[in-house]
Amino acid sequence: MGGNTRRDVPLAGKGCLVPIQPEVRDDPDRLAVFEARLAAGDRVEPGEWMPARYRAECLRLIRMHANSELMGALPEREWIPRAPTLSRKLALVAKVQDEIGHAQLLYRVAEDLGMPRSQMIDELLSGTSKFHNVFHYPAETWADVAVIQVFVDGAAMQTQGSLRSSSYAPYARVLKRICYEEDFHIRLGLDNFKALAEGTPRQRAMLQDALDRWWQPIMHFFGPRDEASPHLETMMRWRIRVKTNDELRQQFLRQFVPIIHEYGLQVPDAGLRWDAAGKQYVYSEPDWDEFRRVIRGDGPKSRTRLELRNRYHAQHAWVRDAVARWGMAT
Amino acid sequence: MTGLWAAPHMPAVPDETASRAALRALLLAMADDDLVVGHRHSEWTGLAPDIESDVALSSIAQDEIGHARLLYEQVAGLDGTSADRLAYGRAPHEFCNAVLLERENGDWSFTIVRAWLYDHADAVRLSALAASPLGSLAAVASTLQREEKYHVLFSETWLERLARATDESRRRMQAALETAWSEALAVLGPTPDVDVLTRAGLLITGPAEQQARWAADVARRLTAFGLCPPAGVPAAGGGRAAAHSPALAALLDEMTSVWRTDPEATW
Amino acid sequence: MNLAAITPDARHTFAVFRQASKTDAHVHVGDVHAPDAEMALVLAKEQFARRDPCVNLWVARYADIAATSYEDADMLEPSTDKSYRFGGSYREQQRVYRRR
Repeated sequence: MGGNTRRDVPLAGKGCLVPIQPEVRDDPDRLAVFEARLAAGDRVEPGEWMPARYRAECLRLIRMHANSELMGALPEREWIPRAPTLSRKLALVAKVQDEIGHAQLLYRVAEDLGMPRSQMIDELLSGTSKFHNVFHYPAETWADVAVIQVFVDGAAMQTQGSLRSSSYAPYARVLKRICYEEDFHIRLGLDNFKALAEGTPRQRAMLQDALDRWWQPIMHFFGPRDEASPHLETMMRWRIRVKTNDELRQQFLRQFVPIIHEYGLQVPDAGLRWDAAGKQYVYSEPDWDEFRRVIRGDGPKSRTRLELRNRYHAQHAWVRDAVARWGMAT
Repeated sequence: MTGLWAAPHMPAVPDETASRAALRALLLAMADDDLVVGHRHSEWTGLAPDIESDVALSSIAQDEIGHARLLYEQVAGLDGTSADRLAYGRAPHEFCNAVLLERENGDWSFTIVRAWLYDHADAVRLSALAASPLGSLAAVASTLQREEKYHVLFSETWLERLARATDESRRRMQAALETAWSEALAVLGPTPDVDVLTRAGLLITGPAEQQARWAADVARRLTAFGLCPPAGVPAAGGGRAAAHSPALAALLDEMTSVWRTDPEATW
Repeated sequence: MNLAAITPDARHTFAVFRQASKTDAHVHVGDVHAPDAEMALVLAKEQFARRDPCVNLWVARYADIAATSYEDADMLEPSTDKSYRFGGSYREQQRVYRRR
């Protein structure tokens, strides 16, 4: 999603095994063999030769995904202490736990592209690497939890589901488990959603309000229109990604707009309609300037969330030190 | 609770009403302990020192809250209420949890030390209940025991490493131990009229004996890890006797904030 | 090759193998970062066995894992006829044997 490769992926840092140099020129013969293999449907494993740019694009994508799982835990975790029943509390802890677990799986995949997890986390905390736009927004009420679980996870599911066909094999493998767990999140979310949609007038109003606030960030989530998306062409050619931003956004709308209507709620876009001839949804263009601002770390909650992480990271310095020392000695 | 009481293995009890009330008090205290400590553990979700421990502690939080739910259901069966009403609908002074468990998480050293002290206490308490001649009570206790085994493993693995890794980690663990110790001594303190249960033969190992077992066990382990069990400290803040700290009121105020907007609604 | 050539901190990265039941073999399901093997097992339990069935876990340091190279994957695939190794090549005999 957006972004500048050179800033995203610094050259080999401390502890990197393979220099990350997207601008390096690859041996044209090896490149040709590589591209022929991918075109024939073969997949890539970490120890294999790959173009420098392929490695950098995979790292950029997977690291951003891992960062987003880690940061994505924050808006929902705020509601764990306030979940309104014991069952809701249990399910919410389990759900947020899954997101943290996904970060674990994804950082591990990213690591073998050449960058230690500790470095990726340091760069996330210093604000030099990115996370998805949706996690820069506040979760203001309990209904936000339902909307995040259904629509944010539902949007992520479109992307992640398609990436199970990614040419980078370790990514495709962990996504099988991630999608399985995301499916639980969406079902859990729908259960929360239904309780509020069919609840008291106040609960319903709270739900519509959350939906109104989240709609635009969710439309942003899939990234700019294909023609305005800088990395897309390379990513598609190498089958790192297999569906475009627009394809995924349409897929999401087809699946989730009917759910909103089913409960008699409003899609907060007056311009949204089904175009039967074009077999796709027509929607009002979201404010892409806001998207770019948010992605740069200028969203309503970007700073607060990074500060929270940084505060705990600093508090845990002695624990990391103890673990490292213990690890050296054993 | 009615379920517990109606068990076929129910031995003849001299004073059934008093025994029933004492058993209710014991189960409610245990439920409150598990809810409050589970709530505290769940506050770490997303913020623990490493990703793997974050996942592990989130599971432990779920276990504890799940245990609370199971125990509340036993009590609710007798009171004609629900587990959620017991958890969300009582004032702080009605809670019977040990004060140690309501304390704010502080840093990782206090979290690990508290978890470890409590996990060992809970293990002793559950093994006493698992030996009860009241068959269904024993069954509930042994169900909870199965999950507690991992809790001890997790907190002890961390405790041992931090006690030994660096000077700073050892110092912090010792300091956390000294902070927690006097309130930890009260975790196995008597619940209201628990002696009725021991006299009736429903509880073979009473609180005093549980407490002695726990103290000897944790002191031995701490010494083995190179930490010093604080000596000559009296038990403080029973909590069972309604001597809560302001931390509990704050915890419950936050916990019930959504529920209170409409307790009759379906959430 | 040794997997330490790929994995940044191979001494403190443990491969996790989960056995779903005693009639199944241990299968690699993911990895954990841990300072030692004992901690790795404790952490692996919740990251890799909190939903899926599990009777046993193994962990092994990446630094201790030797692997074939994908560039030699052709070596793992026979190129001449090896059908004589498979029961399916003896269909007639199998039919006779099954009848008894």
